[in-house]
Amino acid sequence: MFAYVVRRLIAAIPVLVVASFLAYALVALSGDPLEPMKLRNPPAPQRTIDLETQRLGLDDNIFARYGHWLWGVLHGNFGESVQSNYDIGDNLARSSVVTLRLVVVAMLLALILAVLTGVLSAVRQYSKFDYTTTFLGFVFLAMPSFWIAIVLKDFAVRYNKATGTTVFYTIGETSQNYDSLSAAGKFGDIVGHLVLPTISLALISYAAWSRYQRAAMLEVLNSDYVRLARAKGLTWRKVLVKHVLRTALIPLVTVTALDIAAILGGAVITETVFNWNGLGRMLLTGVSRADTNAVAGWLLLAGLVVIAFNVIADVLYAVLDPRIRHD
Amino acid sequence: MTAPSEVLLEVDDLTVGFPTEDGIVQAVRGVSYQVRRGDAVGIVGESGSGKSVTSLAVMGLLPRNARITGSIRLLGEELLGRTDDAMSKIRGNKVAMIFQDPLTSLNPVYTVGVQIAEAIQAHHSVGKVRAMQRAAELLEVVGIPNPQLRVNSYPHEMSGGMRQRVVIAIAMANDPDLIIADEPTTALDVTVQAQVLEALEAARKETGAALVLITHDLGVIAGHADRVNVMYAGKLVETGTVDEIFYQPRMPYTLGLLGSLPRIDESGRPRLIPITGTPPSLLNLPPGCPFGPRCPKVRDLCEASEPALTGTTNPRHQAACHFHTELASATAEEVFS
Amino acid sequence: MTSAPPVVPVPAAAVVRERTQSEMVLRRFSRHRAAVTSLVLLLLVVLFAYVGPLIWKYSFTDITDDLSQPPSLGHPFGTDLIGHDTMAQVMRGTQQSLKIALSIALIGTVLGSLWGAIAGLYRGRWDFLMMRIVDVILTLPTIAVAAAVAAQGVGGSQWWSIAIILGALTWPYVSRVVRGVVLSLREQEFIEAARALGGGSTRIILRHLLPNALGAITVTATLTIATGILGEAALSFLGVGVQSPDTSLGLLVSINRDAVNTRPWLFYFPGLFIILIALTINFVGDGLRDAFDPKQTRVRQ
Repeated sequence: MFAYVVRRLIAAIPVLVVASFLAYALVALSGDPLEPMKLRNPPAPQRTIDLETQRLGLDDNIFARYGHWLWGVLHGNFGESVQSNYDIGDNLARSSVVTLRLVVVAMLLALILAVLTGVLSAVRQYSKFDYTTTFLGFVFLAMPSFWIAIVLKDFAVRYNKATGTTVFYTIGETSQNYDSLSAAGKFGDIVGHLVLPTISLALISYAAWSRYQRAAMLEVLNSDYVRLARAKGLTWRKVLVKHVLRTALIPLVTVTALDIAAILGGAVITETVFNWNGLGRMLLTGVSRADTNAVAGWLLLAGLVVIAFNVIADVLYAVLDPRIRHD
Repeated sequence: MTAPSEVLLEVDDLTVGFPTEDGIVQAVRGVSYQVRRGDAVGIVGESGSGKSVTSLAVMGLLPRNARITGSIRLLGEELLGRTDDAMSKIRGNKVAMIFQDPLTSLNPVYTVGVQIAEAIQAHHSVGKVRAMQRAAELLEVVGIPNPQLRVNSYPHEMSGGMRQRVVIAIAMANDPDLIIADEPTTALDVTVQAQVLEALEAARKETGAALVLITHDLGVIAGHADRVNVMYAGKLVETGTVDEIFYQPRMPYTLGLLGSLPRIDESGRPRLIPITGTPPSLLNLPPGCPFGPRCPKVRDLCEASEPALTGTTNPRHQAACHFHTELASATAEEVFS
Repeated sequence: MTSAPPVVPVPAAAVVRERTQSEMVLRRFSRHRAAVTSLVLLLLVVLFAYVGPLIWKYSFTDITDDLSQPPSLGHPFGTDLIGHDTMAQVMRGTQQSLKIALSIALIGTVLGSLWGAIAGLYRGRWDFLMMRIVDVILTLPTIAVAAAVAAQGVGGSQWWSIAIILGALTWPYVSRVVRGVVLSLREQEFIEAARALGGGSTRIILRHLLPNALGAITVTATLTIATGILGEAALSFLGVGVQSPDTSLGLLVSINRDAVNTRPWLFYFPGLFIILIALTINFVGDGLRDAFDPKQTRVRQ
């Protein structure tokens, strides 16, 4: 098993390297960070432009720039930012704590709800519950994530106004006075701010995964081995738990991991709606300033997270399904 | 004829219908038969003739939407209308079933030992260790080498023939009175078929169970059954002893099945004789004999009314053909050419 | 959970009259009530977007004297702060969003199908290399990459530049699906039979692989339109999609997000159109999937 994990990790390295180069080149070639400086009226002095060009290493070719950047990253230096006094590495570290909190909690929520819904609607196929959750799933899948977020936020604001209290937090990842709170207060503050963004982010994954879980359940329910398990005289409940659920959970592992990139993208949007200062803001700031090093660092981190999830999923899959243990 | 022993299974006027978007498919249309203790009964017919559905009805494993009428009695007790929990006490305990495809019949995520042991534990309160021991013993009975080692194998580590022997081991685990084997060898290579049938015989010898052997292969029937039921379009069309069916068939369909079987005991027969056409749709079946459209001897009466199953030379050799008397000593060549 | 439905597949007892494949597909699709309803609704939305502006008295650029009016007979979807008729804007927005989504689907499907089919057919080293490239692209969050590229105004933020960017990030998904279908079709007995009978590879591709993969490709293409609509909306929401003075459904929702509390019609109408389009397309895709899948035996209870 250990050798398998190592093999998977080694196989991931070239993918990550190529992905980071692709990301770096795309950002570097699609815009010039000094454009605002050059178009300014009156234009910035040539000397300032030259200095900036040199500081950001813009006069090198793309391969040299990428190589230089990657070398730096491997040594813990994410390179110069277009913004002055902006440490890309520090910001990545701080923002990712904020964002991964949201992503992980939303994924857990979506998973739990999706499995429950998928199992119930497959076992009661064509029941009212099945039809309702299926239709709701379609609706959630059709909603832009920012739209759900804005609607939720609006309801929360209205509710707060009507009750005159702050039941729901709608702005930021923590309160203004966060630093002055006790440990328990800090925890409560974080949880309170997580509620609405988590629900917004979880809904779409929930919809997709519950459909998936339902289909997987149905496939197993109609399988020959479930029929044999029933022919053995196992009770329906036992067949359901031991044979159907155990086997039907396996494919969800892969699907969850495959969706992590999309969830990270969704987090960017959710954070924007709720004014979080996390990876979303960092990306959009970097993007709007053509901050190649910042955006490339961001995408590298995203790629790392995605690959990490995929490796974990592969290992989990190997644990859950004996058929691939010896591959 | 020996003295009739106790009637184990009695199926009486069983009908099964499935509602579909096009209407109700009548998969079984009034089937009656008996299985006595220790008997081996073969059921033959093409796919879709209702032979599997009949047995699934006995097991109580038909889909919830199936419409079932008639009666199924096991040792005199009615099975139809029981709750699923009540049926699960009979399934695998008094009646066991073996399915067609051994490659998909076992759960890929559990070892075969666990899957045999859970069958034992479903009906007996024995510990896990004891159940696994028994699983190994059962593997030995069905002829799997190194059973102590093999209980810990996963299904994908075994060949199709081995897996089917595991399924047979599961079937005999609780010493059933009746084993229903639904096309147990169809999905297997010819060379493996004999071994699996041997394992099935070993299982019968060990448990003394009666056997219902469902197959479309008359060759398998000849070696392993005492009585034969021929099914066509959801009905029994001929029933009798193996000898009666093989040597004095009284229904053109049975003749057709025999004619399409290669035989070494009739030298000089020029070629195999196929039955032309396909079985009828079981949706809105027209009146008359369902085999009529494919029967070379079809007459006006056949299109007007469906023949009932009636006794021929003896009351227990029955055929559903208006003209069964004319078929005495007929051969497939004569009828089908 | 213990209400025991013994689910066992129904044996193929019913052999109904044979039909051609397209007849079967059409028949099965027409049985899918949600899909048929959705198709009708979708057609109405398309009519609304393309024929509507010819009939409706306002254009999306017109500025009327009615400022911030709630929905009324004169302005069914109300007006905004400077007097734009929201319905005219939604018509134009729907037009642009549909155009972008269709282009994304077209680019994604054509590239993805070719890529996936070639990888699946050649297998071996080519397949490995091509699929690693797909892995690379799927490693990066689509929205982030699209935002990074679109933010710099590549292509002058025209509708087609957004379509190309999102299309170029969509094809890897399609290629995975198509490759899977091609690989499984290769193993099927009828392909082996065609090969054994001496069919050339061109013939096998044209006569057997393509028609059988067509179902999966059609379904994927349909679903890609829905993700395209949502992708455009997300980009426009982040401010890197369609730019004013042009408009799209995503942009309309985005500029009116702060009006949700005070003038909700500005926010809800374009949003509901996004949902309506994505929802109906997904239902149509679902209907097509059921219709194309010959294994499905749906027994109504």
